[in-house]
Order: sequence, then structure tokens, then C-alpha cells
Amino acid sequence: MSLLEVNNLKTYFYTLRGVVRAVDGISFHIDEGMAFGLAGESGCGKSTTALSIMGLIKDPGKIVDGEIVFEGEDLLKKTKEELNQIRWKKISMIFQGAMNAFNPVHRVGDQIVEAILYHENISREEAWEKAEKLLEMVGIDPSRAKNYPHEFSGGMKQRAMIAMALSCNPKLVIADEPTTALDVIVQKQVLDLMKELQKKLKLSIMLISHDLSVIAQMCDSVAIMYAGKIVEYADAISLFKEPQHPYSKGLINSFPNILNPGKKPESIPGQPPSLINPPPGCRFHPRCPFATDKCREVEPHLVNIGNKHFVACHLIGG
Amino acid sequence: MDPLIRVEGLKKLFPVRKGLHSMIFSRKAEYVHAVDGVSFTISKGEIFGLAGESGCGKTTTGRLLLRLVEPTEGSVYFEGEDIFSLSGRELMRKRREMQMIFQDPYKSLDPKKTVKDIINEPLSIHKIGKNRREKLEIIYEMLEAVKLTPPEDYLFKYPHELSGGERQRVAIARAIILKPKFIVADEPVSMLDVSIRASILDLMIELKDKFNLTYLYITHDLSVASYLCNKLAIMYLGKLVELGATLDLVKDPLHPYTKMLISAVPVPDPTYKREEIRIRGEVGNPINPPPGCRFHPRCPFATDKCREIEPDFNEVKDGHFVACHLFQS
Repeated sequence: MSLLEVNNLKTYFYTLRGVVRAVDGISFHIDEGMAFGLAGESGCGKSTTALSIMGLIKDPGKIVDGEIVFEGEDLLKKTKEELNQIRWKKISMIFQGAMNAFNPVHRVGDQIVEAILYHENISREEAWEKAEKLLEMVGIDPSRAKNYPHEFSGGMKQRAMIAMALSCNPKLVIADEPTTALDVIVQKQVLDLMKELQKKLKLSIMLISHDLSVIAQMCDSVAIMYAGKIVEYADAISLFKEPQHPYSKGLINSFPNILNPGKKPESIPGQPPSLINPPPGCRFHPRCPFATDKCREVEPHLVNIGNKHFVACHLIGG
Repeated sequence: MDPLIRVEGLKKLFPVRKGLHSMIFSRKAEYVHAVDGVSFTISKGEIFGLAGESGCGKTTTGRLLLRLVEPTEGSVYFEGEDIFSLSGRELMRKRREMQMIFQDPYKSLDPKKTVKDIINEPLSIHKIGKNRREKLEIIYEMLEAVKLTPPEDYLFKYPHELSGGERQRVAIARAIILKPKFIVADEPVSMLDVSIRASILDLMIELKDKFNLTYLYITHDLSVASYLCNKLAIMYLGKLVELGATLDLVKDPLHPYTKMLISAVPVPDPTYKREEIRIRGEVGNPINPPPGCRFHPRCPFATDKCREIEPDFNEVKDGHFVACHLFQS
């Protein structure tokens, strides 16, 4: 059974300039203990998807349609209090720019304790002990719990953030660009830690990133998002070995590969479209070298081309 | 090939700002060793990559090469002339020949100026172009060179009306309008969307051939450097640890730090299994760098010698330099 199932989720922002269709009918599922990657360029709706799952969409944003089914229950039908019980206890999140997600005037340990005490009925001392154990688990000396965030390096802050996300033993951790601001060596250390903890604690992970190589190394299944829609969705190996959608192919080819330094990275012409007035038909058609009249008029839907490899493109699968 | 830039023993120490208490009670001044004795040459027509983690001193090195900061020690020779000995008019003349492209095109362009004014500024500073018409012709030519066509569509736009890729093209046009010989590009694509990065790299290569440019390309992204650069230098805590032809260095890295760095670069292939290199510790403190080899606290092969004696930067193969006791006889 899937731990999380997102069906036809639509999250729109009602701005003065018009309705921004940030997430426009996407569906995916995450199985227990698996890592799912959501990839795409900035502004494609990746982070909005994460915030929708966490129930953190604020005005002028609104979830207008769809279901978010977690352990068999639709989160969108829950009350605020019920959601508070699920957030952090069952689903937690590592935010983008976690380096700045700590409050600079409180000790790191106290901030983790605060998260624990909000959800669990234990004493302050017990919570502090737990915070120290969590820090130890992510490779930070427990005595550093007394430090303030500025006394931590970037990588340590990110580790402490992971400790905080795991403080209430969640089943699903959503990591939004967890390593984007980090150097490559620190990034490797943080990703290795996440992988290790995923195995040890049987966590499910939803990893959001613009960096396909990070997703390739972490995830079991991957969805590529473009302008509010999923254009391709498959297990990681088939997606990276046999990408079908012209956008997925383009995105994969736009990355230089250190194993193949002579290979020329290819760019995709044009810009991602505005989400207020997305192009009709296939949203990628203005940038697609293979676009036909049909692409300009009719919107393609995700089609299974075998082995649970889904593609939304008129050129593929009839 | 002729060297265009020769760097010798370049050093830059920044004093650490302290609070009042320690200013009164302690006399010992502390310094951040940003660049600590770096020497290399860049040949004409080369794309020379300078890579390393944040805080290793790569950006400061780039700024020193253009004399945007004054060095503590050392010299930079531009076509044989020491740029730190120049002053006034001579320096101004030299500055025409060296330009910079900055990392963030959202911050490097004045939001209150139009594209035309931004690109025109170097022309008016250096008093190039007899009249408005002639200046406009040069501006048109530059906009066409960076593929912002037709130019009249862009002339009167403000930076906020442009996409990230277009802004970086404006920044490039501004850098090349004086027909410089040397350009320092500091992470020019790291702020851009991945799907358009390749087009900016292609543009830089095209302009290099068209205008006979030489680049110093500063980056932390070894995948991009491995594609773009002919030569690559790896920096750690203010020092060069390895320098060589890019392919040599990427396929057969010698210094343990270079090996660690390359093994940490993620690869867009889920089936790829790499040689696991366990990464220890964190970058040392540039105020009190470790004695001996600066990498020794993190190096799995460190010996007593490494802890005490600083290794020389020696040529171990043709054009391949490394600063490591393991490769010194």
C-alpha cells in the first residue's frame, strides 16, 4: 500500500495579476520506505506541492481540487487540530535554505526540544536527552546542543535540521532542496546521512530538487515537473536510462557529467512559461522541437507506456 | 603558448574585525588567510578553471587578478607588466583589457538603468565612440554578439523585464564591449536555471573564439569545469593543491583532496557505482590554518611529515602540478 497518494492536486494562487496555477492537476504516490524525487526548474511548482502536502498553503494560495491521501485518509478533509497531530509526527519537512531555518537567538537543542514538547507528552529533561540522542544520530557531538546556530557550520546546521525533522519519528520526510546551498563535499555527507537514516528508520522520503544528479543518486522513483504538471513519471533507472518526454530528455542532457567531460551539455531553447497564462495544449510546446498542431491545441495526459513508466506527450504512446 | 597572466606568490590576508573588548585587551592581530601564496600562469586563449569549496579563496584570487583588491604580497603580470605597479592613467588603460562577469545577474545590473545605459557605461568611462550614433552602433553589435536580437527590443528594457539568462547576456555584453583580452567569470551560471546554463556556456565559448578572449573561470561545480575548461586548478584553504590539463586532472586526480572532491560530485546516472571515498571532517579554519599540509587533518594518508612540513607545488607529470608529500621524491 502507498503511504502517500496525491491525486489530481491543484493549488492555485489568486493574485492581483491573475490566477497562478502553480500546481495544476498532479498525481503520484510514495510507497513505504521508498524515496521519491520531484524534479524540475525553479517555478515549476515543486515547493508548492510540498507545502500543499504539509497543509502550509497560505493566502492567496488555495488547494482547489484533488486528494492527498496519507495512510488511507484524505488530509484535505482534516481539521486544523487533526492536521497538527499529523504534521511533524507523521510527516515532517526539511526546508529549503535550512541554514537559515533555525532561530539565531535560541540554542539548537532548545529548538529541537520545543518541537518535541509540542507533540509529545514528556518532561523537558527527557526531551533534552532525546534531542542530544538525535544530534548524535546525525553525527554531531551531543554537547553541541548547547550551542547557538551561528556556532555551527553550514553542513552541521543541515544535519541539525535533519535531527529536528526526525524528532517525532515521522514516516515521511519531505526534503525541499536540502543540499542546494551546500558545497559538494558537504552535500555528499548530508545525502549519505539521509540515505543511511532512511534505511535504518525505514523512512519514506520525498526529495525535491532541480539537480537531477542528486535525485539520480537518492531516489527510487522520479517525477519530472514542468509548469505545474508532471510530464514524466517512472522508476529512476528507466527515467534516466530511457527518458521519453522531450523536456525530460532536454533536462537530462543539459547537465554536464564529470564522468564524461567531453560531452557537450545541450540547452533547451526559450524560457519556462508564465503560470498565469500557460500555453494551450502541451505546456512545453513553445520550447519543443517536435511540436505539431495537435500539441498546440490538445493537452496530453499521462499515459502508461509499460512498466509503470508514464509520459504526457502526444508523440509517445499514440 | 604565450602566457597572458603570470601570478607569483600571491597573498591576501584580511584582518579580522574584533569587538571593543578584545581590541583593548589583546594586541595580537588576527588575519584570514584568504589567498596564501598562489602561483600559476594563464596562456592566451585558455579557459583556466579555478575550483574549490566556498571560502577557499577562489573569488579573492579572481579579484586580485583584476586588482579589485590590493594584495598583501606577490605580483600579477599581465602581458609582462606588473599590474600592482601601475597607477592612474596606466591602470585605467589596463583595466580596459580585463573585465569581470559576476555570479548573480540579479544583483550585478543596476535596476534603475536600461540595458542601453548599462552597456553604454564602460564606453562613457573610457571615452569610446565619437558621438551617440557611433556608440549606439557598438552597443548594437554587442547585443547581437550575445544573441539579444533584435537589439532594439532590448535597448530600453530594464533588468526586471528580462529573464535570468537574458540578464547574464547583458552582463556579458557589458564585459566584452571594451574588447578586453582577459575576463574573470565568477560562477556565471550557478544562479541560472539548469535548462539555460548550457546556452550561456556555449555563448562564452563562441565569444572567446570571436574576440580572442582568455577566461579565468571560477566555480565550485566540477562538472561544468570539466566540460568548459582546458586547464583546472584546485584550491584548498588559500593554496593551490593541484593544477593540470582538465582531462588529466579529472580522470586521474593525484591529490587526495582532488580525489575526494571529484568523488563527491553527483552523477546523473542512478546505476553508477563509484569508488567510495569516506569523507572526514570539515574545512579547516582560514584564520589559523593547520600547520604542514593544510589538508592533513582530513587526509587518510597523512604522515608525520604532512603534519609538519608544507609540501611544495611540484610538477610531477608534464604540466601536472601537485602539492602533496606522497608525490615528492
